[in-house]
Amino acid sequence: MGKKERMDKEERKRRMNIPRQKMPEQDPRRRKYNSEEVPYGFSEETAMQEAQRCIKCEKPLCIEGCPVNINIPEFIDLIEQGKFIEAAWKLNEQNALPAVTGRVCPQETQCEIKCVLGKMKGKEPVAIGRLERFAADYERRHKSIQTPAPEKPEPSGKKVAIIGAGPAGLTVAGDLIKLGHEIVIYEALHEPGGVLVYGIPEFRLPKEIVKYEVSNLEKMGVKIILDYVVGKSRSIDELLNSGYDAVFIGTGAGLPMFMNIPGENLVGVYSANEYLTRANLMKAYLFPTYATAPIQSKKVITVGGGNVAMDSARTALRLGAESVIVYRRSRQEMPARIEEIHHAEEEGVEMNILTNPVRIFGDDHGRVCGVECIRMELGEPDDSGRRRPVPVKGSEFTIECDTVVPSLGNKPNPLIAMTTPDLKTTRWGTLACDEETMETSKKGVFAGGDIVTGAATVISAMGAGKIAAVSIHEYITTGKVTKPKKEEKKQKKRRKKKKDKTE
Amino acid sequence: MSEIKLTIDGQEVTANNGDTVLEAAQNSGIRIPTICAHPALEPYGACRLCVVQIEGIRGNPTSCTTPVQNGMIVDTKSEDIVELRREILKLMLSGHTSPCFACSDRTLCEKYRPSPTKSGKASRCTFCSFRDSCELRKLADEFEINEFDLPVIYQNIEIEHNDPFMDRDYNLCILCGRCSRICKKIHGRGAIDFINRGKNARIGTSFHKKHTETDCNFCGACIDICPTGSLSDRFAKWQGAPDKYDKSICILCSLGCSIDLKIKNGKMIESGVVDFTPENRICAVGRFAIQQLLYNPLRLDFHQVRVEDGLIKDSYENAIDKAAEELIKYQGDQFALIAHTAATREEIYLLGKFAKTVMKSDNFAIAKPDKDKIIIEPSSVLEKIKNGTVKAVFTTGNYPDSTLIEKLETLIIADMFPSENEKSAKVVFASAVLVEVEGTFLNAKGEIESLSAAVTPPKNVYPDWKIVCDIAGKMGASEFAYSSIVDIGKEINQEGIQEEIPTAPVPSPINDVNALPKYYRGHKLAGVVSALSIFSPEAQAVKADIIPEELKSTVEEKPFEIVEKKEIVPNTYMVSVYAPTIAEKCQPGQFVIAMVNEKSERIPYTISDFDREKGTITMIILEVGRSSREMANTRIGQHLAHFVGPLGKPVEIKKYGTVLCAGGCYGVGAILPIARAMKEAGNKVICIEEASSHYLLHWEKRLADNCDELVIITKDGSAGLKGGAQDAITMLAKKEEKIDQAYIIGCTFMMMLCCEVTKKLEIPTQTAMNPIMLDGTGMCGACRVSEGEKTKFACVDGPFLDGLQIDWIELMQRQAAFKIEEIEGLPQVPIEKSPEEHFCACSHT
Repeated sequence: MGKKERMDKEERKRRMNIPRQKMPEQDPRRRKYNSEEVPYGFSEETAMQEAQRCIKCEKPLCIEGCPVNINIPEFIDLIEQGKFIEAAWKLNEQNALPAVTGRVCPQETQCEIKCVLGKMKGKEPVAIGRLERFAADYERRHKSIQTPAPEKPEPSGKKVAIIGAGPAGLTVAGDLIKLGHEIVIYEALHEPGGVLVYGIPEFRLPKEIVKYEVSNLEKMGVKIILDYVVGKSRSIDELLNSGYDAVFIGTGAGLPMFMNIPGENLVGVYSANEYLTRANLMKAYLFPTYATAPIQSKKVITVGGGNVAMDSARTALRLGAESVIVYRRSRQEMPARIEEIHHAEEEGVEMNILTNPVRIFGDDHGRVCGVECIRMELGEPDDSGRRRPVPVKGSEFTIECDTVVPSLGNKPNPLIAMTTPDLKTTRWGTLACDEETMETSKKGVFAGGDIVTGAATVISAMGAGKIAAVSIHEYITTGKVTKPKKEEKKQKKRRKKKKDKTE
Repeated sequence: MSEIKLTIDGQEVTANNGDTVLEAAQNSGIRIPTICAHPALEPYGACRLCVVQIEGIRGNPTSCTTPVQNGMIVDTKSEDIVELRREILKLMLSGHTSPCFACSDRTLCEKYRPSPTKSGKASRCTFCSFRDSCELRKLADEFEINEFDLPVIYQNIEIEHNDPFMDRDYNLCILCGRCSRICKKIHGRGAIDFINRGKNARIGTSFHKKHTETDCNFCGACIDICPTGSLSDRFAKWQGAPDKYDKSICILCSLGCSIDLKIKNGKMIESGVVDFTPENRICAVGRFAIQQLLYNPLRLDFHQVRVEDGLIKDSYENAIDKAAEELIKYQGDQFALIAHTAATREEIYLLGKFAKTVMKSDNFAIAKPDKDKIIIEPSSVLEKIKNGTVKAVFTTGNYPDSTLIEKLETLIIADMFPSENEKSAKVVFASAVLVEVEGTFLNAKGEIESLSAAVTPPKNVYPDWKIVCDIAGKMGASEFAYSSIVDIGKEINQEGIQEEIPTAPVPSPINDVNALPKYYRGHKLAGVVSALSIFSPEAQAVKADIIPEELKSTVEEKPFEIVEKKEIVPNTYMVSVYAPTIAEKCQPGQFVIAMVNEKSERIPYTISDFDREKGTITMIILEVGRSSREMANTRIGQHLAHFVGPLGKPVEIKKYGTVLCAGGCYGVGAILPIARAMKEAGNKVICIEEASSHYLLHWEKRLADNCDELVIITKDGSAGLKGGAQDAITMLAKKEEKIDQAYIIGCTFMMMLCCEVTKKLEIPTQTAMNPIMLDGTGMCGACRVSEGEKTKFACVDGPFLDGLQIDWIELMQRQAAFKIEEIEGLPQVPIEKSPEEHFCACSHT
């Protein structure tokens, strides 16, 4: 098994006939009240069975689909052989956070959509994401199995500051520490992980996993300084002048957008960021052991159709509320992953599509008591290629509720740009960057993730981090940055797709 | 008893020989104001409010100590008497930290602060948990007291919150002696009494012992009888005045003591004695634990049934279906039911009847707490579980132990707390319990007492008797359809069931805190009401843990050491933290976010001072909730878990001309760096320090040294001018002081009043916003503030915003968003303060 030579026809056929393995999930009736993870993950047997489905294409397209270029066929082959730890190492070569991406990547639009198997009639692609998750989880759960200590690279004597311990920053750190550079990550919050700890809920990404993957980086020598707001405590220039050879900005898109409708400052209107941060980062679900108060509501209306909206709506269920999503376009246009929409519905989130809030009503104490909505219909396609939702005259109606969570996405945090005058920004407030090298307009300063693209996905931020790491390495060792040649086309294509998809 | 005739206020009244004039008046519907007098207590004559004029008697005798005599002519309402009472009240108030009475903004302030601000110390009425129930306050209002000739004194007595359930603030004590007298009366030996002499006289324990080291039995009668906010039940403290009173029975032991319930919005907030007599006193569990059981965060308030994956929450109806479906398989000897003693007669009867008639089993056992363990009787039932005869159990609590549970095929639980046994349960019902249940109770004296279901259980949660009735109904039994609890009682009587009279606990928990009930439904009470652990045998070990975790510094190498800390005025702390990177960069007007420990909230604090050389940041902190309490309880040398900053936009320092900086409360410190920088920039700087009373003034010298003119203004006029900061601004304007720019920092109410004035005077005004924040870096938007038509984030657009355009009402509403949760989240554990931090007036700077 797993030989490089061409697979015979029979074997191919056998593999193609193995059905895609199902991943067991927690019963929705149970899980909607707890914060335990929803899918249980593959068992060793199902993982090996699933791994056998890979037909080992000569030119594996799946790798092209992966923003961080994981050697997918090789790690799958290792799983097939039962070499689970080795499979995890293989993932680690390209990906600092495999247990995270194995869970939150939209594989169905990345690696799995490229899978040859999936393009065949009646066949489904190899469950690459689930296998990735399996290998990473296996490695974490078998910590006792001694893994050979990664060889400490020769110190390069170069020092890089990374701003923001989110997916982009952690990826850059993981890649550069392997090359012998000294890495210091500055994080404004009191825990590393960025959106992985404040945004994505426990039931989708257990925080213990983030902790473990971050601790792996720390073991490799990455230093993380918490409670440090670059732009306030130090500016970029000060960092560059204090011995850093390069700076990477990965501060993400953390500025919540609101709807600008009447009543939005009533008590009971929370940005998705606040709603999720209370529950996740501040552990409000453990109140009063933890001091931050949870948002206790009877009925929560989440506005939006992205992954963050699904996370908010499902968190609302777990906080004991009735949960309703209001989305102005139709289900097809929902930017959330199908799996997330499906999970939300299974758990009992009510979907109000083609509906848009018009105003929020409050009571005498300034607390939300309802939302007036209007029905929408789809008109002509807009800039994004999706059909523009148009209000249906006279279709206004009111939904009674006590909490409204606008989950409309985020804008980049302007803090760094404001305090670094020679850093160019775009009209959307993102940092202007060379897409192929992730260089900013300022020498020695690189950026990646949502701060460059606007709100997108964890994996696209990690992809940008990988590109930036290559450029930073080149910059600090040679003093210049060259654009990748072969990759050029592919990169552009990929970036365009990322923009279409938001998380 | 012979009758006595006398005249009170021109009205002829009759009284019994031996009555006091006060009693005679009260019995005739004539009201004489009193404080120290109480129907349960002997006349005392301490407060002197009940003075009257009696013809033929010199001076003004106290009616509570003067016995009636035939032909007495008493005047209780003469002008002189009323005036005398007013003076007496004023004297009393001057020692009671009550400057609020003399504040001209009081009505407005209370309108915008519908409930008092929760604080560590009641530095004034607005910060007093007893504000809305205070007898003294009611009298002061009745006598329309709104000025003082004598300044209000704050006595600086250290707050006592080092025992399990009570908070004691003797700064509010008016020495009426009700507490010590009731203690002596009902216990025969007082745990508390007057200590010290003269102006130092106060209530306390002998040798300043902790109450746990005295004879105190924690019956709470002292709290129930105190007319002021001096003594309070820590759990009930900030929940406000009750809206309903009711009576019930505490069934946590066989004594079945009667209790008075204080209820608000259907929730019990406190229990108390029904009568201040030795016979009716109650134990610490009856007084303090019931409410903490009912509203415990661990309490089950949903039903669960097992699916393949585990237990899932389900409706009551589905849980009943599932339980019936399971139990029907195990009729006969293979079924056992375990009830418990802390239940009503109706519950015990129906559970027994269910076992016998529906399940056709004689295996009915009762779990009885016995000292430090649970005994299940008869033990034959346990034997049958052990030997495999019994395969299904319906249990009402955390028993039998897990080794027996393992033997079962089916387990149905009805309980109020989760337990390990749930792992094996097919159905778990949440039960309504204790005062939520209607029924009768057979006490150790053989008396039948009744419970009225005075308190509303959680939604869709029912008592055990209803649960078995519904299961029985589902299983087809017709004889379980009762229309009322009374019918069940009748049936018990008709059946002529011999009920076993429970034995009384020895020693009685009423007399001995070591004999307090330790279990409820097999759960250790101390495990759910943590403060009870102090009374358990293993108390010595637990005591060390009573110091909240946050007081212990956890990791050594952490930065953010507290280098200086003191209480500068009551309830106001100055904390300096070593944070060189913040100190190096911070600018006037910026703030920091602190987390004392990993479980804390992220709380913003304005930077009140900084020392770039020493690398320290200084904050002035008002203790107004859990997080600021954590901060107030830190010790020098401790490290904060997290400290981040400088955050927010600095104020724009430039030459404006004349700059006004007004500060109140924590804002006094916050204006200092602004005043200093403005002065350095060549402005004329006028500072206003506002305080409720003289004893809350601080940093006057620091401010004076950094401005051209310092105006001190107090709400009660006890120092400087009388009024609020807004009055000082008006005054400055009248003096034709041209003010070019104003900075105002204080409570929202103070800033709002100031802005009303500066708006009229057309003074550009910047105010420091203080909304709820989470991250402080613009990520969450919790701190949204409406500035004119625009929504601003106080953390990144502020904290200083245009005060003339702020929607203050909205800001106040948003600040109150988590009002209920903030009270629920207050820790119930006792706090031990380190001796070196005792507050002392000499610490004024």
